[in-house]
Amino acid sequence: MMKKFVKMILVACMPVLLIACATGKVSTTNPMASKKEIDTFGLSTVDFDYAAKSALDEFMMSPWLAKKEGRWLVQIGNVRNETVQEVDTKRLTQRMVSYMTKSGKFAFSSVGGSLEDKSVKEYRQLEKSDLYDQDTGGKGKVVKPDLSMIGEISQTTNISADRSKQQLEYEFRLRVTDLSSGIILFDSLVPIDKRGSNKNFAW
Amino acid sequence: MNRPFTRFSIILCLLSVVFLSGCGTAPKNGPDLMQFRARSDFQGAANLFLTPDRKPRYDRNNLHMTLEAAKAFHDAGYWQLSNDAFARAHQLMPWKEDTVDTPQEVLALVATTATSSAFGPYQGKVHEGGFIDYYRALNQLMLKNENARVSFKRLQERQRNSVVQLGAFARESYGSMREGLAQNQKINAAASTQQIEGQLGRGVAKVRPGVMMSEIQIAAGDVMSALFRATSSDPLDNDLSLIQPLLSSAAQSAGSNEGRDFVRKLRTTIDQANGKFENKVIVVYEDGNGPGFNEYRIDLPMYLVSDKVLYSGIALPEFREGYAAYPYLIVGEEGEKTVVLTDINRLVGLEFEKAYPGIVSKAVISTIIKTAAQYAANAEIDRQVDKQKLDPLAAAFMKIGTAATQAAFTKADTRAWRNLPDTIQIAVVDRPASGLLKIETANRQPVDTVSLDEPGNYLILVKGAASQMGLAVSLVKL
Repeated sequence: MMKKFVKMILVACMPVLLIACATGKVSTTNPMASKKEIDTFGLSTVDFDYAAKSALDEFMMSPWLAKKEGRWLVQIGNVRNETVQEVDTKRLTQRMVSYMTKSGKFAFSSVGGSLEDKSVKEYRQLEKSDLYDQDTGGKGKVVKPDLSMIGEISQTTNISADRSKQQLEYEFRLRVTDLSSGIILFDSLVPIDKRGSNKNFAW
Repeated sequence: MNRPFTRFSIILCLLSVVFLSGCGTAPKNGPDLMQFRARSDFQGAANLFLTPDRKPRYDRNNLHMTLEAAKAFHDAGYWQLSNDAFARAHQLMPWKEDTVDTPQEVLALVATTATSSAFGPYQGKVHEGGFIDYYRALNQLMLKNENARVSFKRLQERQRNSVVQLGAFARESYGSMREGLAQNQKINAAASTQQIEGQLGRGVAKVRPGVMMSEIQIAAGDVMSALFRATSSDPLDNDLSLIQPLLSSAAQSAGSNEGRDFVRKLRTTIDQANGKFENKVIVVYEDGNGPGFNEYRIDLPMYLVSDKVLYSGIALPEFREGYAAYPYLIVGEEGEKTVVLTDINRLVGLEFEKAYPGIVSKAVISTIIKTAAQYAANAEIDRQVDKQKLDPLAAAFMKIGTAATQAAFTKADTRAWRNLPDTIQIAVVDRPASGLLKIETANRQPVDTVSLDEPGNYLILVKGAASQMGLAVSLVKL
C-alpha cells in the first residue's frame, strides 16, 4: 500500500518535469520590426513609425499636392482608437506632424483640432484690455486651415480553427479632407497583423 | 521507545508535503464586507480595502480579494482606484482557454486534488472575466475617459469568447469525472458513488433549470456598449452596423422576459434615431446581493480491507441564491420601471452547474488519496505497536491525529465574488424638460431627485444592497 501511494504521488508530479511553459512568441507583418523587439500583441514604437511613414509616403505622392504653391495648412483632428489596447494616439499624431513638417510642404494649425493651443484664442482677449498697446501684435491674422486630417486605429481579432492561435488585425486609417469644399482628397489604410498564442487575451 | 522510525517519518513528511503544498491564503475581511453591504454602506465596504490615508490596501496577488476590492471601490464611487484594481485582476486572470499546461498550473491541480481546492489560489470564473471589463467600462464612463471605448471592445471580445470557454470548461469537467471514476478503480479501494448519488445532487438543487449557454454573456454589458455608441458625440460611434449586433446578443442573453422586450424596443428606437441618441438618461440599477455557496458534507462509504480508517468524508459546495433589495425602481414622471437585464443567479448557477461534475470527481479522488494516506499512516503506527516501539495509547492518539488531519483538509471551495449584485436592471428615459429627474423605489419611497440642467445624455448608477437601507446614486454627463 505504501509503495503504491508513493508511486501515485510521483506519477502525478511527472507532468511538472515534462511539460514546458507555453511560448509567448508573437509574429508580426510589420516589415520594420526586428527580432530584437519585445513580442507583444500591443502596438509599439516601430508600429507607429511604420504606419505613419507608409501612410504619409503615399500621401506625399498624391497628384493634387502639386496644385498649390507654398505650404498647405493642416488642422489635425483626433485619432480614434477602436482597438482593445489602451493606445496613446498622440504617439501617432506626433510622428505624422514631425514627418510632414520635415517635408517643407505642410504647416499645422493650433487654433483647433487635437493640436489646439488655447493661448491662441486667449490672445484675442488681450484686444479688450487697456493694459496692452493695441498697436502691437497681430489682429485678425489667424489663417484658416486648408486641410483636415483625421485618423483611426481599428482592430479585429480572428481565431484559428483549432483555437490555438489568435490574430489581431490592426488597420491604421488616414483621411485628408479639403475644408473649403468638403471633398475627401486622400484616404489610406495601413494594415499590421500580429499572430500568437490564443491562451490569453491580448491585452 | 520513542526513537524516531524512518518509515513513519517518511510517511509524515510525504503527507505534509502533499497537504501543505496546496495551501493558499484565505481572504481577510471575511464577514465584515457583507456586514457593510447589509446596511448598503458602500463607503464602509470600500474603507476595508483602504489605509487611513486612503491608499489601497489589499493583497494584489490574491485574485479573490482584488475582485472584491475593485467592486467595493466602484460601489463607493472611487472610479480610478476601482480601475487600477480591475486591471490587476485581469493580470491575475488573463486566460481564454481553460487548459492546464504550465508547471505552475499542474502543481496547483496536484496539490489541491490531494487536499482541497479551498486551499489553492482562487482561479476565477468565466463570468467574472466579463464583469472585470464591464465595470472597467463603467468606471471609464464615470471618469469621462476616452478609454471607455477600449473597455467596451474588450468586453465584446470576452463576451464572444465566454460561450466557447464555458463549453470547453464543461467538456473538461465531464472528462475529469470520467477519469476520476477510472482512478477509483485503480486505487485499492472499493468506493461506490452510486450509493450517495442522491446526496451529490444537493449541490446544484437550487440552480435555476433551463439556462442557455448564451446566458453566460452579460446582457447589461452589451446594452451599455450599444448605448455608449448611441450617446457618443463622435459620429463614427453612431454606426448602426456596430450597435445592432450588440443588441441582438443582449436579446439572447437577457435574464428576464421584460429585459428581452426592453432590448427589442431599444433596438427599434435606436434604428429610428439612426444610431444617435440625444437628451436621454440611462439609469443602471444594481439590486441586492448576488449568489454564493455553502458547504455540505456527506460520509463516503469507503470499504477498505481493514478497519485502519477512522474518518472518511467528502465536502462539496452547495449553490445558494442571492436576494433582492427592491424589485425595481421607478424613474421619471412617466413612471418608467427598471427591468432586469442580467440575473447574476442565472450566470453563476449556469457556470457552477457545468463545473459540478468535475468538482465532485475531484472531491472523491481527493478523499480517496487522503483516506489511503490515513490507512498507510495507521498501518505503520500498528506495525510500530507490534514491534513494541510505540505505546498503544500514544498510537491511538496518533491515529486520531491522522483522522483529524484528513477531516481538517476535507473542505469545499465556497469562495465567490460576494459583492456582485443580485440583478442588474436598466431604464432609458428622455431627459425631463424641467431638468429634474425623480427616482423612487417600487413602493414609491423617494431615492433621489437628480438635477440634469444642461441638455445632453446622462448616465446614472444606482446601487441598493439591502432593503429599507439607503441607495447610492452617481451621475455623469456623457
